[in-house]
Amino acid sequence: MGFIPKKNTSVKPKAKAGRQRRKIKHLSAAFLAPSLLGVLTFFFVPFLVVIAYSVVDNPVSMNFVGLDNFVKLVNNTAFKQAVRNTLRFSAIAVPLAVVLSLLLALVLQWKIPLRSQFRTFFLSPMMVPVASVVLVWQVLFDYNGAVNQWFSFIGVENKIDWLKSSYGTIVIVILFLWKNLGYNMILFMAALSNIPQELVEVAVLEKASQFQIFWHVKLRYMTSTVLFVTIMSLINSFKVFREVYLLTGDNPTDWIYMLQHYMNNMFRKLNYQNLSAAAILMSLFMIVVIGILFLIENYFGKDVEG
Amino acid sequence: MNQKKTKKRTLKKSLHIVQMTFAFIIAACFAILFLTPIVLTITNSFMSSTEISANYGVIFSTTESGGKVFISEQVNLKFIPDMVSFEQYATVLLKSPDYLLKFWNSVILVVPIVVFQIVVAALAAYGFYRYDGRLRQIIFFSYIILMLMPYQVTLVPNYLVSDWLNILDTRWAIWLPGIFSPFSVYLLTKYMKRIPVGIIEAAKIDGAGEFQIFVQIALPLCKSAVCSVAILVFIDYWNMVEQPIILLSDSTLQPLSVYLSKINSEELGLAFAVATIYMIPCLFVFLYGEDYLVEGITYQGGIKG
Amino acid sequence: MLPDAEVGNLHKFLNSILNESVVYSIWYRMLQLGYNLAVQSLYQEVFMKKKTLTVILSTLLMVLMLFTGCSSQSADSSNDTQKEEENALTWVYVLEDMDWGLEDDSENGYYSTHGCFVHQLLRSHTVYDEDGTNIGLLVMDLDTGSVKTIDYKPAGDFYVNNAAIIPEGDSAGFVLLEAYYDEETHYSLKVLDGNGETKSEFSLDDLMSRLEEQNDYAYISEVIVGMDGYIYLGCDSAVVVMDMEGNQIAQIAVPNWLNSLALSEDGRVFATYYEDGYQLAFVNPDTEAFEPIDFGVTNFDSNTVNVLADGSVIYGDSSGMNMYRYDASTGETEILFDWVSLDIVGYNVDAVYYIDEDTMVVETYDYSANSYNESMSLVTRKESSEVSEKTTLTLALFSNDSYTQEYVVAFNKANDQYRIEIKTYLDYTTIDYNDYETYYDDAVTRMQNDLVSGDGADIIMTGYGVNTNTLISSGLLEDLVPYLNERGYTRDQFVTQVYDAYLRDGSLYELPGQFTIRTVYALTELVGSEPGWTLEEAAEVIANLPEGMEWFMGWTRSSMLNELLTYGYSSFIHEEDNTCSFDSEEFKALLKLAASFPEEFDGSWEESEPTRIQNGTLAAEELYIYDLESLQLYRAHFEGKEYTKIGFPGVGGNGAVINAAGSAYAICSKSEYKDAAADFIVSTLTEETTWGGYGFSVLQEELDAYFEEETTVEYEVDENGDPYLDEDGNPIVIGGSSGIGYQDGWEYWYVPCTEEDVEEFYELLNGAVAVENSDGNSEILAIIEEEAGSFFSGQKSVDDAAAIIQNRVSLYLSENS
Repeated sequence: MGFIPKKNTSVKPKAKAGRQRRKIKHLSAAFLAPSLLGVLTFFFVPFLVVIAYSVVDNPVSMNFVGLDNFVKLVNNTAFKQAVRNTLRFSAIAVPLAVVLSLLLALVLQWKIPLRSQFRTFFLSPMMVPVASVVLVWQVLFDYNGAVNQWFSFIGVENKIDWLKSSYGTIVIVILFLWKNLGYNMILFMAALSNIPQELVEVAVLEKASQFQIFWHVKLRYMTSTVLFVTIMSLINSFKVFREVYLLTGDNPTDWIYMLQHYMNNMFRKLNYQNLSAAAILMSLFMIVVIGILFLIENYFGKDVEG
Repeated sequence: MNQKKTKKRTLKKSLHIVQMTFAFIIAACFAILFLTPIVLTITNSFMSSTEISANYGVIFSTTESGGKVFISEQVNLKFIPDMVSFEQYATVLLKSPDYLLKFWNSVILVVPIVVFQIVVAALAAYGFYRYDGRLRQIIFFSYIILMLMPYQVTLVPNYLVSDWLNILDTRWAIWLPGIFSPFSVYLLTKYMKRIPVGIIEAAKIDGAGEFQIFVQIALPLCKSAVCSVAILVFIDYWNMVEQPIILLSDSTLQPLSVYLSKINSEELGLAFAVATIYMIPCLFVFLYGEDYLVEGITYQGGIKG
Repeated sequence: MLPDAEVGNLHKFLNSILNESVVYSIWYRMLQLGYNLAVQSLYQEVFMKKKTLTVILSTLLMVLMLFTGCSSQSADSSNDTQKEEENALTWVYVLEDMDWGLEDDSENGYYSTHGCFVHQLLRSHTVYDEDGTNIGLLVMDLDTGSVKTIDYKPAGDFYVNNAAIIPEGDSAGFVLLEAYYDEETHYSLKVLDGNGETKSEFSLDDLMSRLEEQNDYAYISEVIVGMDGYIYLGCDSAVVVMDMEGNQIAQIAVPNWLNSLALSEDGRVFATYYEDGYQLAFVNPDTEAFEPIDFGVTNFDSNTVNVLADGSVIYGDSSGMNMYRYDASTGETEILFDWVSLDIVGYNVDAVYYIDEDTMVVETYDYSANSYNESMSLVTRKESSEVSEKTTLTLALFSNDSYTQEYVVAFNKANDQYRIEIKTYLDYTTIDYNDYETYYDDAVTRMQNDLVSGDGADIIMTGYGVNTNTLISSGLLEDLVPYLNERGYTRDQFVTQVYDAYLRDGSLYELPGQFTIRTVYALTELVGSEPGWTLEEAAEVIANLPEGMEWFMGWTRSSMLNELLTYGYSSFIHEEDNTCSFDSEEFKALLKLAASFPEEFDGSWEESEPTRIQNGTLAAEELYIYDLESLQLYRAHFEGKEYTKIGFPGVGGNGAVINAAGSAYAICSKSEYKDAAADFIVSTLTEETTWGGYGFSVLQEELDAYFEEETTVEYEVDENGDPYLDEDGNPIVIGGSSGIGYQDGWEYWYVPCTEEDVEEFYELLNGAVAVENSDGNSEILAIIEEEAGSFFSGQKSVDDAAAIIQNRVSLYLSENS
């Protein structure tokens, strides 16, 4: 505002650039339009419906009840249990997924034999249909399943009821890692190969140890990838519910009862108001988490990518 | 001096070999773990149904009311069939047209979604790439949030919207939400943001129109990303279960994935064969597109665009 | 040489590949796909550099193929719905009377229909008089509608079992399958000419003895003459083909059992038989094999199947909902009409005969009216504009129900402003019984979604598959009280115990027309004389039964658990704070008790309950009381023993439970026509309530009238009003001579009901507090059953099993709080 041009001529290119920018804005809006229209219809409007449902007594009479549903929800034992379990699962699974896939990426970084074959093997779980995954997991982790059998071979006599005890989380975490490590690993492999070789060489000259190089140079350079992998893992940790549900059914024990079990059961019982309220709480949580991740990326992103 | 150096080198070399072996063993262990379920599915598909139920029947036998029954027998996990049998495949491929019909349904449902989702998403991604205002940022952020919604949340409203649009019980009810899914917009945008603006500006100066730039420059530059996103989307929708159940009550339209997820004790014998057949398209997509996938993933990274 | 069955299978297999047009088209497309892929990879080899281009090209190709595929695909949805809409707009089917020019003389004899033989319909009219049996053969020419009657008199004790027209030209004659009974049934075939004169006759005793040799049991039920001039006999296990002289031409074995033989439109003989569902096949005497007609359906009603000249099939489904047409040229199946829309109860349809595009003949038999005559009507296709339209209400139900059909048909006939359409969610034509559970769940979800989105229904049949609690808590059900009051029904008009039992917080959401009562009677020496008991008491008694005594007949682990918990599990649930105590010692004791029972029933069913109660090996019996006489019967079971009406444990009150008999109905709060819906519900209350002797009316007045009728004894009287006396000198009661016999010879003859029966009824009713809710808590029971199983099989300790049950059920409960 306080800028006063010294010469008249300097205004012209600016105005031109502004026009140009506006033109691009309009043109690119045209590119955006189909997607925006579809997302509005099939994702945004439904989301508004969800918000509407969350503040009414039931989806038929639609009487406004304010935040009653939210109050009921946070006082509901089952919901609290579901939140606890889901958080615990994500808290274990997501970091593990990041660390293990990074480890695998580092291992494959070395020129070991059959490297590309390994890469394919690690990716292969992505293509197995959910149903067969469940089938195999059932064969493995059932009370009479193969894992208990192997344990008894090595002398562990007490059978573990994997899916119905506190071990349930482990089973799901394994399932989750199995499905997602490959994809994450490739993300890391890509990031590793993108690290400018000069940086590493400089570090070597400075007599930095392998670990120091990894920690201060490579990892630092890959911050944004780490965050991206985190967010993808978070997304996928919500998708693993399909398998869990097929493994355990509607009413599992409270060790394995996830937020999606709660939502699914509310859906079946036509309790859309609680379902929607839970969904909104979840979105709020997600917005916060992603917001934080954004900030972290902004903070680190600056000094590496410039 | 010289000797020391060579010694050091051989030491380094042997250390290197130890390291390599170690790495190889780790990789191999993981590979075995990762491959087991797939190998199990494929080899077991060549068992006769009697062998299957003898091996796993214990787990999957159910009571009349649907609850599981516990019998004090162990499962018999086997990788190699006692006798190779094509019984399951014969049943699936030749005897009952149902499976093939459902397979075909899967194809009809998934392929248009993949193709058009990519088209719509590429356009949108280009839109996000070319102009980055405050509003766009908000829109993009809300795309991420919408993308993260679990299906239980969106299913009811989706059902209502389909009802309003009068597409319930038609394939459109699956197609349309699929085509406009924000997922690939997110991934492609992230990729496109890597294209240097200079290239576009240069083309612009050469007199190319915006659409021309999109088709001739932007798209070819991110073809590997497009492929990798296409593969991800394909795999995602190939395995969809919930949407068809709710939105397509006509069971003749439902894909094989829905059917697969319902397989129970009676058809346990078929389960592996159907699963194997169902994996084949994924396998093709994968083998054909893995390089693109890897290459495409390579440039994603970072949450923001 | 392959065995016959193998040849049949091979045949079927080849047919399925060659004739199944859908499969064929799929294979064709797959080949195409494979070809494209091959071309594509070749292209790649040659022009390695142009990879992108090939990808784009092949994608485009595939998309193109897909869409062309879609448009020609039979199952394509948008096409389908469009077509259905067009159909609904253009055509409707209406019912018309059929003129046979006959008088109703059901007093003297009966009519029976033998089938349609290429545009000629054959019925026979049998009259018994002093001279013996007289038969009138009625032949209707379906093209002209004219009826020809031929009189015929069978010899001696013979009666006509079945008959067929020889379909050559203008009724060239008949073939009759006659039989008489003399220790065993003797069959003979008679060939008549067009005037009813006997041309030839031969006994089938040889054939019978041969069939009996093969199957130790045989009967013949069907006779058909094909265009080829052969006689086809349908026996239970085989189709036997003979020429007119009685020489056997062929015998074709039936896999399980034969259902029917009939003639197709072009005069070929086809059979329906059972083998993995019902199968339809032409009978080929040359190859001595069935030639399957695969139209993708295996649960059709065999009497409604018609095969047209082009191979198309007209058929009805086995649950009596709709008539369908499978078009052989396109492979498509469409619904022609549903029976209710014709004001016909689908279950009453006996047979359907196709005449042409516009006309069918339907033979119905009114099972509820107890008449011996079938009635024949024409179903004709009309343009919808020719038929006046009524406002349509939808009645949603989970699985098809004959009572509901009866009610709806009665309502539709009587109401000229509204008509009700039935919408069934569990479709038995496509159901996969292997996968019943998920199929069931999907149907529940679909129904609930439809209801919430508002295009579900006006009236809902509650009960099986419909979780009333869920619907109420989501506001989907309308309170019936004001609607009933408006129509003059207040609480006083109802049997108040039942009315109150269905009342929830002062609102009535569902109401059955009739109800039944279930309870348990047990020996007093074991359970004491006070009715009603707790689960602990029951467990105590059952655990300490005297040696050799069983509690219920055929008691197993799971039935024991079910029986006790179905009503009694609620005593482990504390509603006030939504917790449960399945980890309590009481519940563990119950589990241990159940575990002491055999997994499979190993006793014998040879002795009946009453016999075993009498000889002291059975302690209790579950009662299912649906009419007054049933109380009498159960009393007789315990004759001479002291017994207590102990009821189900843990229920409260006297342990008796009120059930809806048949169907209960509710109004959807989203309906636009609630008043019409209420009219329908009221009509189900006042409808003839005790037909079939099933259930008690919920209206006090009707219940009183029923008791009055039951307890009033009427005697057979002569013209002077004096009662006839039987051998013992007692007056003969009208309709009082019915009885019931059990497998071991124990029998009971009903006597006229007395006030004592009525009192016993009220004693049970007054103490009954609970209404069976079939769906609400099946999930809890499923959890218990699943986890108890691991304890029963010895895999887990009772503590572990109870802990998991407690864990899962308390989570389930807290979810709903």
